Amino acid sequence: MLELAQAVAQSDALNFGGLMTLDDSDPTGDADSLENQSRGRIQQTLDARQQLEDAGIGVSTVAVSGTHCYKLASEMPGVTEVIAGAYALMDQRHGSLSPALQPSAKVMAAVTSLPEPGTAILDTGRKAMGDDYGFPVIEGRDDLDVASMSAEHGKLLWDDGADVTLALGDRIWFTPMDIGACVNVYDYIQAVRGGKLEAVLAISARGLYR
Amino acid sequence: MENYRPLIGTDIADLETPCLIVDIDLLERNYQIIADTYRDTECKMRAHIKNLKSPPLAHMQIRAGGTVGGVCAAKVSEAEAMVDGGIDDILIPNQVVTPDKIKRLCSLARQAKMMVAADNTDNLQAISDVASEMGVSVGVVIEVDTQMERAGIRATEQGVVLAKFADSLPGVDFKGVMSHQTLPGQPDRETRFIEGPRFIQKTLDVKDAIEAEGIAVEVVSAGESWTYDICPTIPGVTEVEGGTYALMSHAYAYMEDFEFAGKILGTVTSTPRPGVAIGDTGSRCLASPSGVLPEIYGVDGVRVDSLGANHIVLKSDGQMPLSLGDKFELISGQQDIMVNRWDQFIGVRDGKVEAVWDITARGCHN
Repeated sequence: MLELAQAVAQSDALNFGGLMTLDDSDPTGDADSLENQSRGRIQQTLDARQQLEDAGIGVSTVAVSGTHCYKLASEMPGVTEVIAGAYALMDQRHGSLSPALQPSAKVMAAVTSLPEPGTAILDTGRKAMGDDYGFPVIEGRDDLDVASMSAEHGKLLWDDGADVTLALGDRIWFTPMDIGACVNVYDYIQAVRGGKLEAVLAISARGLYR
Repeated sequence: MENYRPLIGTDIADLETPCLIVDIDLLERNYQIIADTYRDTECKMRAHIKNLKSPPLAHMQIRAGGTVGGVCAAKVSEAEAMVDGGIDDILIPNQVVTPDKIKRLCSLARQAKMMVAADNTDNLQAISDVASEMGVSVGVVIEVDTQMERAGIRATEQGVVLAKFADSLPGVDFKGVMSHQTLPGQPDRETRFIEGPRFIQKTLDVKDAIEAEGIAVEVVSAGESWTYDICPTIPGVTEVEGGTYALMSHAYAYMEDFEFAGKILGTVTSTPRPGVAIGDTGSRCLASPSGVLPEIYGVDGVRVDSLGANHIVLKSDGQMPLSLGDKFELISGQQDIMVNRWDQFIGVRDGKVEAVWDITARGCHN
């Protein structure tokens, strides 16, 4: 690390900015062990900062990452930036560790088939959810279970005795498991306030992998 | 939107990555299998365009032969992209129920021969009302659930009721029956040839019952890529909804006739430890539904260890044969979900770019 930093610092064409670390931890795990793990990773980066400064190399940036670290990073002097994305729209995956952050984005599906009592088929499946980290979670309907999802369809089941009335075309709302994967399969976000459409926001960086 | 258009003749080694490449020789070989299989059979392929989402690739299969001359489209918006791309015969093997979508379906019926799957009388009535008002005719097939417990009628009598009702409605042209089938895992040929006909028979039972009422059944649509060679052996099946066969996926590796024509090209961007290489292809561009990992293609001794959103971790048991800047190829586990993440296919032959095809139905979820 010191060798790389010195090479950058001595280069005419490069400026040495500092250090960054990506934390790809699964944010659905146990809160305490995840925080300990993240603290350890951040401390490792801060130790590296100290090592560089001891060697006379100035470190202006220490960037750490992950929505799950947003509070922790503020408590660790020496961290200058947090690289986080999920917190804005939020999702199911990050929600359990960061309850203060509310899911603001949802996927709206419609019932397209009611093939037998206790079963509804939706027009929205894995393709439209971006389910790389798992299935989305149904919103506000404790009476319905997401039984399965295939590429183009979702399937809801409910108990025989449950008082559920669904009609063709009824809307069902989902919180995606991972908002980053979900946003990447859409071209627009329909922004709503008070139950009305307020803006249509183009997702202009969708699909930009290079 | 991504708009990557390398010049024709560009060497594959000079492509920017990640990118989605199609080996055109292999695609043509897969298309030729379909053309040969269905040359003299009543049963034809109706390629499911949810796997390709690109009119040029649909036209290539239609030109190669063995098809009904049209495609399946999963959604109304996907059908719109296909009609815009010059396809004029489309089956939507799903239900279209909301008023706006029924209008869009009927609007398409002015430009193309449209068929849609139905499993509900209210839905048939709604389509009939709009089609009649707009002065168009929409073909209808009754969806039969044969084993997937998804949409579709569960009992033969329901099919007869729906067929009679559709047959009586203005603006709706009763065409026949359709069904999907699936098999888990990597079944062998014998299992496919036992289970496939068993599932499809339920569709034929509905057809027979409808015909017994004096209503003609012109279309019996069944299957997937894994029944492509089974359907032509079952009298009465008129079309197959195959999609994965064109580009293939490692989940369909048991369909040994078909070649892996579609691949993601990546580059090694970091070699942090011995035996480990990090690449620029993550789950965002590869799709890993339910954690299914892609497989690396053509590099011995290297395996895919894990995926991050924007990175892949490759590992080797001995010396890592990949160095910083090296390119590698990956095969997706769920090909249609992967294609839905891309805007262009880069068509390559003999290691050079031969064509760039826009994936115009990418993101057509509604």
